Amino acid sequence: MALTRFGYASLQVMDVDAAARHYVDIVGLRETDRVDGKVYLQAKDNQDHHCIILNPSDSAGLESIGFKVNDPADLDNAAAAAEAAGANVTRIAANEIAGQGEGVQITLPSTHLLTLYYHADKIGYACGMENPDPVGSTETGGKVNHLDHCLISAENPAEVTEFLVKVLDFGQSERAMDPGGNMMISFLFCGNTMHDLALGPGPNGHLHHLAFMVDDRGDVVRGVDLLKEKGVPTFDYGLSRHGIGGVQTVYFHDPSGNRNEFFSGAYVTPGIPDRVPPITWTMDHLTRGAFYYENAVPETFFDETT
Amino acid sequence: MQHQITFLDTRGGSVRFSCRTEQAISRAAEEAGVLIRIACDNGGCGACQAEMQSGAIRYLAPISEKQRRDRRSGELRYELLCRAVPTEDTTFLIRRPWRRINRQPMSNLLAQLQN
Ligand code: FES
Ligand SMILES: [Fe+2]
Repeated sequence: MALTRFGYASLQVMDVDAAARHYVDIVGLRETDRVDGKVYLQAKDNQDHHCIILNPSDSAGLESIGFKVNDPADLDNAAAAAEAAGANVTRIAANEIAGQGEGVQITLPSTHLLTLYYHADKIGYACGMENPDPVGSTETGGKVNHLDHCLISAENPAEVTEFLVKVLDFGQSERAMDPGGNMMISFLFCGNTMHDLALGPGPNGHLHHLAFMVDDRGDVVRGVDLLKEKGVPTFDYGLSRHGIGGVQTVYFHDPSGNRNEFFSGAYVTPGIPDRVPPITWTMDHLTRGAFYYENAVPETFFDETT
Repeated sequence: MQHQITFLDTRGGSVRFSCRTEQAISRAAEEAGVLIRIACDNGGCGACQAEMQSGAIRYLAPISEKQRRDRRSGELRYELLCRAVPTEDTTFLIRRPWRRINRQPMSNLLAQLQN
C-alpha cells in the first residue's frame, strides 16, 4: 500500500467568507469551488481540486484530513488493514466530497478522521498547463507552493504513531521522548520530505497547525512582512527556525484561530518507510528542537489547539 | 461608555480596570498593564478563557463554541476575552495567570495610542 501525499485539510470555521479571504489574500491560495456553503481552495503548484475545504461551523478545528493513495486498490487494502487493527472505517462515494473520487474514512485512535482517496478532479497549475510562465504571480498573498503537512494533537501520540506506521505504512523521521520514554512528538512521512503528518501532545481530535511550503527563507521573511502589514495575529515569535527538521518558520492564525505556518527547507527523506531510523530528541534539548534561535518554548505553543 | 472589569485568580489575587463598551476586554486589560495569555486573538484557540462570575458580555465577532466548554464535562464554562466586550460591570475568574507590567508615563501614552 502506498500513501503518496497529504492531499487536503477540511477545516471548521465560524465565518466562511472571512476564512476564504484569509486563505486567498494572506496564504495565497486559489478559490476553486463553492458547494453547499463550503469553500474549496488550492495552492498554485497542485493540480487537484482542493487542498483546503472550509466548512461553516460554530467552532474552529479540523473536520478531517485527506491523503492520496497511489492505486485505487489501495483503498480496499487500507480499509481492510484499518478494520483488522480495530479502527472504525466508512466508505465515501465519489463526489460526496466535491471534486473527489470515492474514498475510505478511517477514525484514528486520536479520533481524528483520515480520508484516503485516489481520484481528484484536475484544475491544473496556477501558471496554466500549456507553455507556462515559470514565475508565479507576484501579487497574491504568501508565495505558497503547496499545503505540506499538519500537526494534530493526541492524548497518546505513541499509539497513533504505531497505527499510522504499522497499518498505513508511514515512516517516522523524528521524535521527541520524555524522560519516562514516552513519545511526546512524532514526525511522520509518506511522501518525499520529513513530515506529512505530525503528532503532538494535547486533546484528541484537535489541530495544532497546518503548514504551507514556500520556496526559501526569503519567502518566509516576505510572509512575515505580509502578516505584519495585514495585521494577522502571529505566534509569540516572528521568523524562527525549528531545530527539528531545521526549517525556517512563522506561525499565524486564520480568522477562526486555526494555526497556520509558512515554512521552507524541509529535508528530503530517502529510502523506504520504516527502514530509515528516526532522529530522537530528548526533553533537555527540546526547547532548541522546537525553536532553535530562541531556545525556549512558550507555554502557548502546545496548549492552544483548535 | 465604560464598565469596570475585575479579574480574580485562583489564589485570591485580583485586579480592576475599566473597559470601553466597544473594546475587547483583553485590550483594555493590556492598556491597564494586565497581560493575560493571548495566542490566536481570533476567538478560536482558548488561550484567553475566563469564567464569568457576574456581569454580562457580548462578542465582537464569532468565537469557537467548543472553546467555551469544559473539555471533560462538555459544560458551558468559559468566555473568550480576546473577543468579549462588557455590557455591564463584570467579574472573571481567569484560567491562566496574568502578568502585571508597571508602565512608565511614556509607555502609558504609547499603549493608549496603540489601542
Ligand atoms: S486568544 Fe485564542 S481564543 Fe482568545
Ligand atoms: Fe510545521
